[in-house]
Amino acid sequence: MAETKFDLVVIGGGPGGYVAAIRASQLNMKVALVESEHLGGVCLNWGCIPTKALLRSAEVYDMLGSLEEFGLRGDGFSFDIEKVVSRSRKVAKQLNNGIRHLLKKNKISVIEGRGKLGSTSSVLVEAEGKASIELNADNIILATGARARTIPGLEPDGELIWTYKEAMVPQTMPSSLLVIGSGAIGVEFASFYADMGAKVTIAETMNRILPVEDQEISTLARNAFEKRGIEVHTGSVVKALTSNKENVLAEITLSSEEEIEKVYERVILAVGIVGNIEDIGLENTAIKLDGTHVVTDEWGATGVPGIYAIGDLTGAPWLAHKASHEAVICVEHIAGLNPHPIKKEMIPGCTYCRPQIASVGLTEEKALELGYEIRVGRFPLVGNGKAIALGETEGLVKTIFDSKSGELLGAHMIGPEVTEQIQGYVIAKMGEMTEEELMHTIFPHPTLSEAMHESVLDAYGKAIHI
Amino acid sequence: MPIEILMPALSPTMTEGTLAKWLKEVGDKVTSGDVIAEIETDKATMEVEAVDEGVLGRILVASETQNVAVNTVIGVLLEDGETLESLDMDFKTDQTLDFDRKKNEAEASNVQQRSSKSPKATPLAKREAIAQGLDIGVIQGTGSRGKVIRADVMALQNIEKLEETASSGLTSEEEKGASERIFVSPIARKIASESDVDLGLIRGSGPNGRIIMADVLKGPRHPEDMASNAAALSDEELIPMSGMRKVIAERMVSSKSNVPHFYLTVDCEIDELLKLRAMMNEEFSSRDVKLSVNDLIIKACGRALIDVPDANVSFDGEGSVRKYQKADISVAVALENGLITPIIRNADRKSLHEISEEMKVLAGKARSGKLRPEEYQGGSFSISNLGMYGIKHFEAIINEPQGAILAVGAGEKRPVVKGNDIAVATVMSCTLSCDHRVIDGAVGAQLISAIKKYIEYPPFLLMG
Repeated sequence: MAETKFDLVVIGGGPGGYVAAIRASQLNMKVALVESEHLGGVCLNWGCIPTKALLRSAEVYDMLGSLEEFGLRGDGFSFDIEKVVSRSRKVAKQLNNGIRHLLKKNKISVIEGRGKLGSTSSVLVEAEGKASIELNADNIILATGARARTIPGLEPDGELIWTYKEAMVPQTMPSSLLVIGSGAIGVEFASFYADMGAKVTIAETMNRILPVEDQEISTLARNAFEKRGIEVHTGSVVKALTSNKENVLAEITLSSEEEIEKVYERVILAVGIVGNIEDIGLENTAIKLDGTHVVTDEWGATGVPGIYAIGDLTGAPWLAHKASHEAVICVEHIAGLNPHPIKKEMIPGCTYCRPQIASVGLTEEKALELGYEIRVGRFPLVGNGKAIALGETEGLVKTIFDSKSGELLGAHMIGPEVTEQIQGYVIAKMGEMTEEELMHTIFPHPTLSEAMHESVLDAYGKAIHI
Repeated sequence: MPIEILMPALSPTMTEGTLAKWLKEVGDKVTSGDVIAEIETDKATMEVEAVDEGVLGRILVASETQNVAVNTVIGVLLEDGETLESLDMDFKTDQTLDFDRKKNEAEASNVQQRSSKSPKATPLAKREAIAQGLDIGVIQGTGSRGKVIRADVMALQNIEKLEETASSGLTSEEEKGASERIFVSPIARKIASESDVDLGLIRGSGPNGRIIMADVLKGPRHPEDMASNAAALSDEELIPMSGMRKVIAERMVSSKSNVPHFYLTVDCEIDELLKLRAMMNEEFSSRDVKLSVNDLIIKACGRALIDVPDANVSFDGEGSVRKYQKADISVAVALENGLITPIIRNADRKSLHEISEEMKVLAGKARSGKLRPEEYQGGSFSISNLGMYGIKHFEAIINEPQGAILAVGAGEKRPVVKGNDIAVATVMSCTLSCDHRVIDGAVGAQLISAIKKYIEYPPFLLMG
């Protein structure tokens, strides 16, 4: 029947797993990929990709609301939520097919079923209605990903209290929505639903939204949301959710210690991530766990020879591009090449709400905490010609430099299309460039990216356009 | 107008080098940026890039020529349309050429600058090298295509390397590949992860705010701690341990706990040795090299280790004894707040003057923190000399994973028995500490006897 002996077996077919499989195949390894649900993992099917499709619909819908500004006419705009959702599902499906095709092209054996460690050199695959298969593997990569965390008292019910999954396929547009948690996921859903007409409230326990971003960015994001009519409560804890058939009663303790009760049609729980460590055979191994994540070294090795782990399973940041890079490094390391491990400060983070947010490296607070003497550059988008022409002048590009070495310690952006622009700073950091190289780089005009250049100039008192 | 190609200076201190290889032949077209030759110094091999364009008209210094002085004309480029014949030039290698010297010197210094402006290194690496006073041309690069990245420059810093010697688990690949998480030395990162310390909470006291091992061991700073500490410190002082001190502490604990030491003491009469030393210093006073007693002891130990190869060993982990063919001796040098052991390699074969000169250089480097890792990592035997402090006798702690260490005391006049009479001789007590896992009593005794033989009969030192 089918092949059962492989150089590498990857458990999990998300952006970590499928990239690992393809890279391994490029390096002439015989590879099998075990996937229990859908190729592309959460990212492709229930995460990154479909949410961007939804947010695109929201973006277009929002623009329709300001046609007059651009000399255009039209009214009576509406949407069909079913079609908005089905478009996002179509997008996911198209990519899903794409991954399938890539895996086939790279001659990777794709095995449907739930994989788990049999021993340190074998993987057992179980599929409903089929006999279980044992795969022999010289190397195994665990890439089983993560799922939404639940907090006691705030459990999803699949009807009115949603996780990201239900939030992605609404059957109706709720008139009111409570989003618990203001990380990237929470904030993106808040932005989407607000643009589509819901009255949205964000509740966050920390003292600011988007707590991993630079403080200034958090403040600007909050201002932008509040201007759009999104209610924001920080330092607030949602104590309990009680649902009936129609809506949910939320008991919230605000930062002022005041306790309020409010009714929402729907609630989205976006309170964190836990790794999928259950039922994958870890119990019989010496693999170490840190909470719900597998502990690995910088190449994804777990300490048990031949077994590796990558992606969301291994902890923060829970980003697809981190998983993909870990996949490549892990596979190249297995193949005996000597890749440079990932440095956390090189991983950009992007949030696709409106306005978009993107950052890489240290926040100003972190840089100061680490003892750096810094120079900070700020360029508000209102000084950028393209932004004015676009009619989107709310935004900021903030750059942080080590004054001694000129190293770009961090870059923080908020505004239109910043998620597309942040790579410029990531490239500069990877190339170990200093302010000098950035200042001498010619950015094209007129583009939003000129704000990136001006921010760097501003850090050294040389900005031209402010 | 033909263009002279001059021997470039690859570093500010280079005065001459070897033209290792021409990569172009006479008649080859040369464009700006082409690598035309390879130059070797004692530190590195570098590529020379052409600044100008033309055809290589003549090679004046052949491949594999050594001792080519900087600015020597090594070749000539002809511009479009020129030939050697048409110019009717006769090239002399003694540089009595009739070209525009200023123009060519300027061009040569361009080549020099370009060689140093674009050795393959990232901008941050170059800045760091300048800040540390390091010659970036000699640093091994681990970036793409051998490019020097900042981590490579940081890796040369002494403090960090001292910390790394304590973490014997790290291979050089791991050291180079270990990711720097925001200015953290590899050993600090390792200790932080082992003791579950969040590096984000540690304030770095190393260069550029770099977190070093000492910082991690100190732990995150809490305002409350500092306040309560202040109260307790009225008549005591709490000095945080330097990185080096921490390394020493760790290594000493490890050695004393893991290594089964035993000690063999001999008293050596050193009158002959002192005579030889005085004689040599007098004879070679013009050479400006003064031999010390320690230099002679180093040589004696070197010879002895070759004579007793079973004692030239180190403990190599469970089940293995590493036996050495060479006598590489680590010599303890006291520093302001610690100590380090630079190595004299092949101590048996070097002349006394070579040993003396080398010790001077290494000790100087040690005191200014400029020792390179290869200069203090390794060695199969150590010598520690406290004679200058008047110490009569002591037992040194073995430098893991070496097999033995010699503790040398002060030479002092003592009564000795000669035949049946009491005489006076200058006697120096030496104690050999041995690792009983790899050196047994008899072998240790053989070694220290051999050392004593060379010390007491110094002419043996000059032989072979």
